[in-house]
Amino acid sequence: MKIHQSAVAGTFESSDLFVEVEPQPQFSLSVTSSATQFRDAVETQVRNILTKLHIENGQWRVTDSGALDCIIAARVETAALRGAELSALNWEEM
Amino acid sequence: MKLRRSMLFVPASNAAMVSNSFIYDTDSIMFDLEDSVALREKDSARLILFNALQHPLYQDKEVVVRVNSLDSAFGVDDVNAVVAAGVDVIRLAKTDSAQDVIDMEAVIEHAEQAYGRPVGSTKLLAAIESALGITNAKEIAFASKRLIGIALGAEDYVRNLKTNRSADGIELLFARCSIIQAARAAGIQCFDTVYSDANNEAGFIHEAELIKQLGFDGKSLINPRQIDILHNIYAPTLKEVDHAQAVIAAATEAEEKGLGVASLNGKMVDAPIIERARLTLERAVSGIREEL
Repeated sequence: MKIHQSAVAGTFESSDLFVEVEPQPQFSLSVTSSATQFRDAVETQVRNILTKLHIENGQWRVTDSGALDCIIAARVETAALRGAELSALNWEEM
Repeated sequence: MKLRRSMLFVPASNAAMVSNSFIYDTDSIMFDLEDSVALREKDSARLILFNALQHPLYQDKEVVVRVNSLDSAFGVDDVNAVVAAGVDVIRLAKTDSAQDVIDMEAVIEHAEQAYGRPVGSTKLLAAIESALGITNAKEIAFASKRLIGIALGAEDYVRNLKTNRSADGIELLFARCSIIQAARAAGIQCFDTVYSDANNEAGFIHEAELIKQLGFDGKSLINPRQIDILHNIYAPTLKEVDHAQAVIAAATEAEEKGLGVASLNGKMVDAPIIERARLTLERAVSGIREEL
């Protein structure tokens, strides 16, 4: 999956995650979290999801407000699909 | 048959509500991908459900998902996502005919085969929201073996009738009775519409008592505060529970003795009485109603 356009997903509300991605040839990721003790775990999960989606480009910025892992996955996947101009995941692979 | 007194609507686009709604003591959670989700968040809401439904928090809870119409740009993707995630029940909105149910069943079956779910494992709930749908209620109720029940969606229905909802609900009486008749004829459950004014507790109680007396199995809810109130209305009294236990004991004893018919206090205990006693005991799981 390749990021072609700017995209956002999620909100800054409690229990949610906000994801922004800008197209660029290289890959970069920054993560902040309101629950600082979970920041590294959130980053690990985000990296795992992006790897699973075969994403190797884009400038990714993630702001966590205490989201559950299922919300983290959903918001990252949404931003990825929007950035790649795709409508749906391959549900079987996920 | 599963106890389904309360089905709490939760907008699937709201991360906080999806993250927390498992805590409520409702019989089913009903996530919504349809009217409560803005067009630009349809993709995001679908992905939230795809992930949340596989989360351990929702494994012990019956999950119903109201998907978008198959005629829309979102319906088929919604079905694919929630079937792949293992949803229990799909709620089909705005069901006008048996063909609507058959069409949805075909899409579900295709998804079950594509994503390795047992064929037939995804159940259906058809919501009727128009005069045409009410007219076809019987055909709809018999349209699929997947149907667990049919439900009334009143807001669109009263608009279709060119009236509005009133405090006593007289405008819904025909639709409610039609749905109950059709559901009972088909041997499935029936569910009443939402009570939209979450701050009017007296009005909610009045409506819930009415629909229980009419014969509905339960009701869609829009606010967690309505759950305990509804369960209390459906809860049997201590006297009813004592009687139900005596009926079951008499029936069990008669069966052990090889008697065809049981009796209790000189009255015959036959199948409908035993069935009603079982339902009474099921409804007692969340508590006993105080007699005033």
